[in-house]
Amino acid sequence: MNRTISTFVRVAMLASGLGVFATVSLVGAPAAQAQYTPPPPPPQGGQWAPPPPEYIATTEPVYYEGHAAYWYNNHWYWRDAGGNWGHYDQEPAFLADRRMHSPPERHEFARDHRR
Amino acid sequence: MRRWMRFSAPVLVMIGGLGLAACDKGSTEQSAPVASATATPVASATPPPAASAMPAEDPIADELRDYHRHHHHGGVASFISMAADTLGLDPAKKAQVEQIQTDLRAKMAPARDAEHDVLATIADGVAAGKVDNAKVDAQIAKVAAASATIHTASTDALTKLHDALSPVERNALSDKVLAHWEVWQKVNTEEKPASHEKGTHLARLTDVLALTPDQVSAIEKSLGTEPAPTPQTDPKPVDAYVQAFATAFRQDKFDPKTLNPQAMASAGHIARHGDARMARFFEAVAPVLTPDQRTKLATHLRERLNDSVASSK
Repeated sequence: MNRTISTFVRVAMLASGLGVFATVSLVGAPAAQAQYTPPPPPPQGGQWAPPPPEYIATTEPVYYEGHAAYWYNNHWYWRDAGGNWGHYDQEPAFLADRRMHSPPERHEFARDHRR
Repeated sequence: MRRWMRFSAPVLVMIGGLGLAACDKGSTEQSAPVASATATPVASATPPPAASAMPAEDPIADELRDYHRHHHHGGVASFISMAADTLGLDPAKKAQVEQIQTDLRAKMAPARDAEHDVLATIADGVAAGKVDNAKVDAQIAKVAAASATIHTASTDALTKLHDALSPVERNALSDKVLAHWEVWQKVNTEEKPASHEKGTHLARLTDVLALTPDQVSAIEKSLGTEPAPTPQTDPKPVDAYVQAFATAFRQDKFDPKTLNPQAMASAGHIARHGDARMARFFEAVAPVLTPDQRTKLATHLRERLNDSVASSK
């Protein structure tokens, strides 16, 4: 019985602890949105590295929100007017749908395009 | 029980801290405007970060690099036409742009035919075990001369191409032209001719022909170091032309004639440098090969005559 109560207390404390911190987080979130969010450091493995020129030269983009977006290494990347690359942290529904149903093609300028 | 609570408190704080971090990140992503806050700048466009190096296991990238090792006749106009191939246009606009590409390729035809002669002569020389250097040099001069006229002849086609595309498509085309130029430089100026590191021309040939280490060493020795660029082969004027084109093409108003100074300053450079480098490479390779390897390489080179964009058919 004591063991049952102890387990219940542990679960309750964990839940309440997480709840408090989650509430604090959510309350704090709007303030964070109004501020500049610096770019995150590149994650291990460089999976956020933008597509190399070979990829840009051979791959059809998808046009979305005024950008040519490229699906590369499980992210959509695009280039802004200043030539800097950006990516979507969360895949927009339009791009996800396009990727699922009509994925962008890559062109082989030598091998398969001989005529 | 009290002791357990004392030890569990720091753990709860840690868990809560993790929750704080996760919730903060998640809320920023979900509620911020899509175009700005979820799109996070990750790198400068020029030069690309080292981490963006193409995986070696990308055969399409390998093919593109090999393409740019063998075809130089059209210069920047070739990059533009190839860029138009991968714009991902809707069918109606694609048909319109293909018509413009046909016009553009017609302007490149004399240079393309001249380059076919170069490739054919090299292929014949490889099959025989010795490339006729003097003949190839004369043919390269003809490619360069024909290539030098392409910009002036293509102004109407380039204007039509600009007018056919939306602003975002023009940006995409400009990015792709810059990408082709970057790849071309990678394999024709940055890559050392005698290098047999993975992905280089010599490494690729080693795989295709099963070259022995002795053959590779002999080719390396023969290739030596690349000659310094001359005023007729210096890539810097080409870079100025490509950058000027990419900038001008993004604008609402585009007049290719404004690029004439850059085009004239770099006229024929890509063809002259690229074809000469290709010829030097095969001149070094041919004498080292066995008869079977010569036959195989000559066949491989003749197949390049049918590559997309470079084909006369």
